[in-house]
Amino acid sequence: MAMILGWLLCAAMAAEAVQLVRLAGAAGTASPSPWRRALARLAADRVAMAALFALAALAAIAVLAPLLAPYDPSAQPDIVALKNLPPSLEHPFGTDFASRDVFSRVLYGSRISLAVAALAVLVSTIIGTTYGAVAGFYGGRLDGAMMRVIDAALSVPRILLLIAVIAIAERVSVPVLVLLIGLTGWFGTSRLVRAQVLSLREQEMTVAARALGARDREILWRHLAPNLLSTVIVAATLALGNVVILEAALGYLGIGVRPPTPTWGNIIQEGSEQIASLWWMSVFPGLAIVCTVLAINTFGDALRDALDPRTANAR
Amino acid sequence: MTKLLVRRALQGVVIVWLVATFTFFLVALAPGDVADAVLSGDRVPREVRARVRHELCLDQGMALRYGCWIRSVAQGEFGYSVPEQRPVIDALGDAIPNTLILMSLALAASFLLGIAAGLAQARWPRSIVDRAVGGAALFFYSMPEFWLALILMFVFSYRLGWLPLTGMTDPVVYPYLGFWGRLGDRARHLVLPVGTLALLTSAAVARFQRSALLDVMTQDFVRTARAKGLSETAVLTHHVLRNALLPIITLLGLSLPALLGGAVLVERVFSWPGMGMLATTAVSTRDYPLLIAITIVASAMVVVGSVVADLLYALADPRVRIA
Repeated sequence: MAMILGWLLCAAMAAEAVQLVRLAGAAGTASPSPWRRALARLAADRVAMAALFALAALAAIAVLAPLLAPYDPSAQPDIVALKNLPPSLEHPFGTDFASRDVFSRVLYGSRISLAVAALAVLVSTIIGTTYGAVAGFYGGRLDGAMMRVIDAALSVPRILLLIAVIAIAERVSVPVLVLLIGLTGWFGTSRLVRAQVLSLREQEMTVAARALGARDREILWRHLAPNLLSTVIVAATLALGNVVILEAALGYLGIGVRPPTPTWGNIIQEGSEQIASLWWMSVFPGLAIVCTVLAINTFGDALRDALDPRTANAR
Repeated sequence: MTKLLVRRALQGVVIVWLVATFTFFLVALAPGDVADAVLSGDRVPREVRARVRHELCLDQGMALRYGCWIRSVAQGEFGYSVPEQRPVIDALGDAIPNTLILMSLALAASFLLGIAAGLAQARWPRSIVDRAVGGAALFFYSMPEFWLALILMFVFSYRLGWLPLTGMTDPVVYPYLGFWGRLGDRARHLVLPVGTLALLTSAAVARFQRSALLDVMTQDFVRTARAKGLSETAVLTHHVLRNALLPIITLLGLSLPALLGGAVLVERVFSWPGMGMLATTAVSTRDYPLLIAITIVASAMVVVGSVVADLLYALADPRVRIA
């Protein structure tokens, strides 16, 4: 269920982004809205567009995995004759010790890996934004206490935090895993959002709105939220890349999605014990991770530059 | 200066206290009795079970439990590790120095490499050098540390046979080596784990350093230095780099959690007997006292590191020192 939701989300996000950028490109720089201008800058960035295209292709691969995969990812056709085959035309990424086709497993793995990452980032972005906005908006003692909690949370490496939590939670289903990854990932976002809210709160538009008798809720939604959006989007994009890596790391440690399910981390884990002879089991899923995260980070960098008027003008 | 140090140290104590409180709730919220999970099986004598429950403060009433927990954490009493068959503090005592060696070497290497890369990029901004180094940095920045570790191990240990596979020392030869032989053996075992961590961390440092340098380069004193007729390289190394090193000191403190997290995975790949190896083994043996101790100690290490970074910052920047 979470999986279906996740890849739908991935596909929708990619489609939405392509649409937005096309719109902005059509409108050109004549449009006065800063959003439009940022998107136009983004559309003009060829590297960013290539990365976006790669991401859309990845989302499509994840959605269409059953159609694209040449074999059933968990089928073990011949455990004696077809096991441990090096890459060939029939099996582009080779086969594993149970004669399963690694190419099909990597294709199917993209679904879980991308879905878990996208949903976890959604969770952490919502929590982080809310927490940071509350701390920055109300300020004072509350802010101080809330930020000390963030300091503490950031002092434990995320992977160690997850190891401790997952070990104690015993069996972890996929939705719980998504939740746990999301719950350990919002601290950085909340700090960014808080800093942004603190500076926005002092700006003339907010002061003016307050002088005109606007209520807290109106100020938050009308004046702060739109200005926070770019910070949040950039943070979420760059977090997505990190979480893809994190999810794979959990799989490698054997505490991610449960093993018969193919995820990129799980495939690497299965091959890592015999990397000397079964190198293709580690190399190919790893390359899939690198390509995905590289595309996400390239796009995230470009997005940050396009949305930041300072760097955009410098170019 | 002393005031700053005291204030930061107090904040650090609060942070570690919060982490210890968090782990308390972790144990309290765990399904079932944690002692049962640690001591799976019925063959465990009742006295042992009672002792584990006592060490985890599980034999106290809810009201007293938290106080008991904090007291034992503050005294460094993390209980007994059943799978390790020794007190948690002993297992940690053996592992922490190994992780510290790994991390400090990786930190030094990555900052040297990252700063050099950032300098090269800022020297010729938007040139082919900038793009190539920037692309390489982004490439390594997008790479899972455990995967790079596996690939390096495959290439350099299995295929080329240049470097040892796993561990800190050669299990067979090491005891018979002389001083220099031992040193060499240790160094050879360090290359791949440190290299993996250094490559990935330096990518992050380079990305940060480039923008820090370019930020400084727009300032007036840089224009003055150029107007004096100094060469671009002299401007960069004498005027820009000094000022751009300040944010780098901040990054030094901020990069510690990620570096420690990376060390966890790299230690796992190379069977490096440090905290990360201990933590990943503790998951499979369900060794909660050990896991909890590692979480608290890791946070304490990060806190100490960031206080040191703050101190360095104050030493480097007179404005902070005097204020």
